[in-house]
Amino acid sequence: MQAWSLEFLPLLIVLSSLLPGLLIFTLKEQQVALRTSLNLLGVVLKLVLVYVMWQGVKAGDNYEFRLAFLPGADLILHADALSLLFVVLSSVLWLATTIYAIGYLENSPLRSRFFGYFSLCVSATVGLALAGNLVSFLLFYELLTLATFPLVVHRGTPQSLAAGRRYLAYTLSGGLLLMLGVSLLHLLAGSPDFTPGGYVLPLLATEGALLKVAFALLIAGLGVKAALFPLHGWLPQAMVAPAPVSALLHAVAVVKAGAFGIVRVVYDVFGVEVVSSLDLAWPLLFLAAFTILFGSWCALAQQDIKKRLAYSTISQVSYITLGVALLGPLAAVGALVHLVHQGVMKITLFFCAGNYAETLGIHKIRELNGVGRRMPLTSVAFTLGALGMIGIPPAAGFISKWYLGLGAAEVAQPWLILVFVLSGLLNACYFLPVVYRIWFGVQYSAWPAPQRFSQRLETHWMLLVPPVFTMLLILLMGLFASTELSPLSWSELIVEREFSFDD
Amino acid sequence: MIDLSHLLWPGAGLGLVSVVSQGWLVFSLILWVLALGYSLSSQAADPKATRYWLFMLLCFAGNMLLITALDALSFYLGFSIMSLAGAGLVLHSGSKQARRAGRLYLQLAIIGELLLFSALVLRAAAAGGLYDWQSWQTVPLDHLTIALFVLGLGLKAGFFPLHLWLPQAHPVAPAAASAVLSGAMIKAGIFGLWLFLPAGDPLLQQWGQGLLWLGFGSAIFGALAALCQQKSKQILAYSSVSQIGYVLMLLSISWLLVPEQQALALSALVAYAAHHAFAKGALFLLAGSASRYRLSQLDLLLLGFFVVSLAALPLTSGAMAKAALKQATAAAALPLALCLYLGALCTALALCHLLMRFRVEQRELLSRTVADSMPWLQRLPLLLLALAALTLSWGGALPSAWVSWLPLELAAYTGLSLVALAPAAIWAASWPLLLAVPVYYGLQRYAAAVLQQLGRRQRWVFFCSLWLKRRYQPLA
Repeated sequence: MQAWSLEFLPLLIVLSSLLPGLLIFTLKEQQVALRTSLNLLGVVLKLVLVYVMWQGVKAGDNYEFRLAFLPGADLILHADALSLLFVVLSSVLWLATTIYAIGYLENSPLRSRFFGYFSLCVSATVGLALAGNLVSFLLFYELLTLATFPLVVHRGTPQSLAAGRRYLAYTLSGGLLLMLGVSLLHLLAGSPDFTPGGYVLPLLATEGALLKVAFALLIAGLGVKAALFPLHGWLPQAMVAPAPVSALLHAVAVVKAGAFGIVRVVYDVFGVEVVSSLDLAWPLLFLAAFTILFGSWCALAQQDIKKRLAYSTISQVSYITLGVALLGPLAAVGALVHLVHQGVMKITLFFCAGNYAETLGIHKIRELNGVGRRMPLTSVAFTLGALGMIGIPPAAGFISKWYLGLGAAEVAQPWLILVFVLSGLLNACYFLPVVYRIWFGVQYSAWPAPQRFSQRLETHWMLLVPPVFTMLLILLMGLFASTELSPLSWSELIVEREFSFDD
Repeated sequence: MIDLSHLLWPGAGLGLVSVVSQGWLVFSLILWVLALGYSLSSQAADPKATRYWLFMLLCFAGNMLLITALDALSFYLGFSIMSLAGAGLVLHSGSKQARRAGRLYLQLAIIGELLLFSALVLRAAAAGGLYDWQSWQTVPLDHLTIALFVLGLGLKAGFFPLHLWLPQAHPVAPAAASAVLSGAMIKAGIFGLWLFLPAGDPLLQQWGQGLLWLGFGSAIFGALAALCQQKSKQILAYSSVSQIGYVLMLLSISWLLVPEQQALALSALVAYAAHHAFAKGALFLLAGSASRYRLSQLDLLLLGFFVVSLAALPLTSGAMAKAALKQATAAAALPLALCLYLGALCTALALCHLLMRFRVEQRELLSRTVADSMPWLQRLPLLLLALAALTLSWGGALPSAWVSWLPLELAAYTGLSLVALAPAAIWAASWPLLLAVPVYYGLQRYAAAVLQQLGRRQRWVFFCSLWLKRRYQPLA
């Protein structure tokens, strides 16, 4: 691989969505074709570049882009196995979501603004994944907050404005906490690159208390986006956003950014050794376990499809935090693979919820009765996503739950298996009745607001292809977990690299 | 063995490495194919036939997969596909009974699956992260894991007291579905117990005793509860609870026996499971047909054949299975002889009741409408099942080239059938039956109302199920 590509590929990957996004802002509302081609060009370009980088990282190439930014802290874009996991996830799902959004927003106003911020949002996510030190991470983390706000309030209704205000209040305070944490750590240890095994070990003897404070600040800051209890308040409200935004928010962009940050902080900043010797994992473990059950419990009471899915996200994302907090290699595999699996499953569910809302005007769960006959493909996708969330094979969710369970038993915390079982039970309690209504329920009134988008298909093809595509991904990831392409193999590679420092 | 570990997940593999799984596959496959053939006729006029076939084939695939699985995850995959698709079969008719039975089935199936999941995780962790069946054989068990396995798989097998869903779900499903539910699918629970609990483990010696008596209790309870029911399909379902008790007894005996004699109990286990699959499957199919068609002389003959077979009269596959059970208990030196007589008496009572109810239902049908005769497409699977049952008990007498390719120990089974033909054995098999007739007459004469009252005492299950549903799905 040539030297320039090793240096500039990470930058190009960020720019491949940033530049089209900025161009889209300048377009007029009627320039649909140009806007769509710009969007798709960015997506395809990014996928090609990510593919090249993926092959390189697998072979062991070291991609790094450096820019002087702050004294003692460069802006670094660096590709390691972990960042690539997130980059691949966000680029692939961006492809699906872009197609979906084009179909979803057809003929609605302010599309240039929407797609511009949409691209910005993905650029920030990818930048955050590629960030090579805490300062760069913080930069992209804040950028993500700013890029998602206009998407949340896109509809401009009083309800969505209120949700947006709440979202901003939560995430900006979270960002503030994160910044405090980063600067505290910067004072203590500077801002070196992320390293497997962490870089604060030399400080352990002298600065234990301050390290604890820094860890608490970082986790609190990241916990807002990862929707850890009690910082989850913004997430259910942000549901008023259009379906593609919710899909992206829940699957990749915001929620995952928080979870990914926690993975980074635990593995590459503090390191497993420091975290366990400072007893930092315990509070995180209990908090995550509680959030898992709490989120599911709240989801039970929701009668709105998207609200129920939102509470389910709170619960499911905490699986990742829990797996990280267990500090064992198998649990880490489970956590990382769930990062991908949860993303794909949740985006499928949100696509389907959006399809029901757009095509038939269905928002409430009780209106879903008998919809399986009217929209079979969407309903199959929804069913598979729901089964995956419960953790039933062959859907992908089973693989992550299995590894998380093994990881819990491995570090001698078998009581956590009970948490997984209870959560699976609650998941079944709030997803299976929905699936039952879809397939076995008898339709008792006309659809609230039916529209005919297509003569032959159940809905617009651009709304139909993305959920079907992600549904196939769910099945493939769950069934062919051992193949080289699977997220499971890649997570094992990451864990091998992250945990090999102590051999 | 097919190694799929590079494709699916670490340790994934399919294969039939033991006589038990080979025999299990053979009888399950025969029952499944015949039941599917029966559905060609029985669901011909069904407006929701597509859905029926989808769930039926999913169950079929799941059942075959779990028998051929050589690792925990493949088994779990097959098991969950089968369990969940089974809900589709229970719910199929969409009636009120079907909906509440389906809810109960689904609730217990999910609980069972999660218990099984935790058992498998604990076991895999104890085996150092390996999931394949081979490497689990030498890893010692612990009480929690055994308990989770017994509960998780027992909820599928449906022995007392984990049977709650079974007598509600089987009667509401379409006939062919109840046949496979009862003949093949509930046995997956017993098969899983055999697969995942290595027989040589010292802890299983303790559990074996308990499960043996649990199985016996289930055998008696099921037969007595069947007496309290009025619908033939419900009687058959309770009879399944009773028969699965015997299968559980055989499995427990195989754990209690010394390793050299285990093969004896396992061969008896397969024989009993196969016999029950054929006889009970056929009776469910007959019950389904009898609710719509007039039974001809031949059909009545078939009915008699399978009932007599379940009652273990000499010459039938039931006699062979009972002889195998007796042989295994004798090998384990268990003082069960009297208990087995008691069990035989109860079974005979339940079967008398079944015949009576069949007669009543057939009369009611004929008094309502002029029912057609049963179509041949429905009769043929029954004839083939009878043939299969005969081959099971007497196949050893055929030229060995005809049957030697079958992975069932037919020669040994024929030997057992011959044992059951000794005068003492005939007497031992007949007197519970002879006693049953007057006892049944007396019961019907003096206690019929009480029994019916007792039969209605199962509604609390639905109340609990509904209460549970209200907890997780409050009314909007």
